[in-house]
Amino acid sequence: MKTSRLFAPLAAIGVLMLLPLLNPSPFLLHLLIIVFIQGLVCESWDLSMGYLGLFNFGHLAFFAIGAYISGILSLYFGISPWITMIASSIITFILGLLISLVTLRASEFAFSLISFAFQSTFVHWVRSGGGLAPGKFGMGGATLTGGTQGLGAKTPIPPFNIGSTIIRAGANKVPAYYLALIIFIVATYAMYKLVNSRFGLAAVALRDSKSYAISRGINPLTYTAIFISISTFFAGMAGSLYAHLMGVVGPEIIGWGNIVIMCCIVEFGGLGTLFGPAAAAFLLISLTYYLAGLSAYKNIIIALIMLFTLLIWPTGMAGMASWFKSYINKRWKRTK
Amino acid sequence: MLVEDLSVIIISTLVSGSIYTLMVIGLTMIFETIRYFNFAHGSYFTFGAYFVWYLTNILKINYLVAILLLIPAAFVLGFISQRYIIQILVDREASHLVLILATFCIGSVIESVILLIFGGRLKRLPYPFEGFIKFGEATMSYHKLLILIASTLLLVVFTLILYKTKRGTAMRAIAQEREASYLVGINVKRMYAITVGLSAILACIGGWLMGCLLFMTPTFGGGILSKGFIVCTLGGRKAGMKGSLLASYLFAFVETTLMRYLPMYNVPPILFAIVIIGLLIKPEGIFVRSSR
Repeated sequence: MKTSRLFAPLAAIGVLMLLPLLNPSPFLLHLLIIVFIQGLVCESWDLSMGYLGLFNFGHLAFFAIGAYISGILSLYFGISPWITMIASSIITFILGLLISLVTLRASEFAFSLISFAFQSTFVHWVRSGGGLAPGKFGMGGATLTGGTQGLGAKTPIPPFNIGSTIIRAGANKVPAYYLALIIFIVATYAMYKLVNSRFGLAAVALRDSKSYAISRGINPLTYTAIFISISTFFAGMAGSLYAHLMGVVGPEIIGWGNIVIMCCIVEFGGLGTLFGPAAAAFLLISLTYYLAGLSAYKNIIIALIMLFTLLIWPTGMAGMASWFKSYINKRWKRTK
Repeated sequence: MLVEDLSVIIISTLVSGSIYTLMVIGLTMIFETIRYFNFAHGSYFTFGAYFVWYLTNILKINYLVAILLLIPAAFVLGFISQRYIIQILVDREASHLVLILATFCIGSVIESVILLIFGGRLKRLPYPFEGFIKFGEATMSYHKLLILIASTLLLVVFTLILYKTKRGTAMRAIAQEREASYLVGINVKRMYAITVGLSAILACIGGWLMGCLLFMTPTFGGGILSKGFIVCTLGGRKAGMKGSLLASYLFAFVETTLMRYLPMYNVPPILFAIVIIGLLIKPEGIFVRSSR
């Protein structure tokens, strides 16, 4: 039983690890790098959306904050990307803790509404530039966040490096692929352990029956706030990874279209399943890349997919998979 | 100098406060009766502005007729989205999260359809009335005066509907006690749809008034929606009509005062910080009498 459950994830990891040896096209590697980063964002969004049942509209804002803080620290202050990655994750953790603690005291609704306001405030601030860049970078009138052009449009954000090899998605894809893959696997494993621990069970209990969970001694405020800030921690980590691998961060990563896509991925993959959103990220992000020619219809198609998932099959892809599995089992037993 | 500043601040407070009121009253009305926050409300705003733009600029219809056509169109939009989409989820007793996600989907479908038809370029509605009016030192355009009058009129009509008609009484009954209203024979599903339709009328007219004032893009409703949400949380969900009104004007006053004296890109983060501090001091909202 135990080995059969381990088989599927280990096989997937093995295939992904060996993939660069088969000499795939650069497009596929680039797509997979993006899938790992966005998949990490979607999985961490699933922590708050699926396991807690709270709509954190500002989740992508935390992703962008991770990207911008990491980019600003390494570009303007010359700090190593490995350190800024940790720093930006911790900063998003603290910000998530602050916002959730303050708003959850009022109500769950206040949390959703204020996170929406947080997201649009942050987008506005990023678009307007946020003041002059420090030091010699501000000479030419460059702004702190780079405005609508994006941070790193003039001088790219410094890449990760090991010794003298630089790791960047634009220059050498294979190390970038491995870095994204390893961070993705480690973070997914950490989240998997979290949701299966007593802590994750407490969160699910709070979602399903709040008053019963409270009567069993679970403090709703602290548990919820810490769970949300762990999810924003991983979002900030993914943002930092994105910034250093891509070299440029624009305000479009928190645009309306991107929010709809990410939200659709979490919903379509199945709320509260963790692996569902990861699989859906692969499917839907490849879909959006192939739909790029139909740019105007893309958003409508994605939003309609999401709406129909909600109305017709609310458990999403994960629910579909388990239904399929039980159906096969039943048929197999009958023939045997 | 000070007098001029003061008059500018007062006028813009009144104008943007009225727009926020149109949004917030609709949002709280839906929340009180059906218990969800409508994330599609921003797209109703956009719909109102673009609908009037299409009728007056492309079809060359008289302005007044376009406004009269806007009201039934807005009602139908809200009615359909509640009766045929959200109601399915309400019947299934879906969680709050699923309802919010569904409204979010509806909003993004409406906005992307608008983007598809009209494109993303900045557009601007013409003023219905040109010209200025003078109050001593201060000048005020007729359009801003129209915003004040129209929003006041709409609110008065709404209060009359809520408190004087049979439908309004039914609506308030559902807000108080859903099960009992089923028992006395109120068609609850229909009343839900009517509630959303009415609040869509408020939002669409707000969108039209705002579309004359600012440049409009397919996503310009989102910014106003986020301010509406801030006002909802700050004023408190249980504050009622009076509390929401006060909170909208208070928020508009703080915003315009900050806009007057600080660089523009700093204002939204400062406002957000003020909201967080306000929530720290009084989590249940500033215009709600403390229950503790």
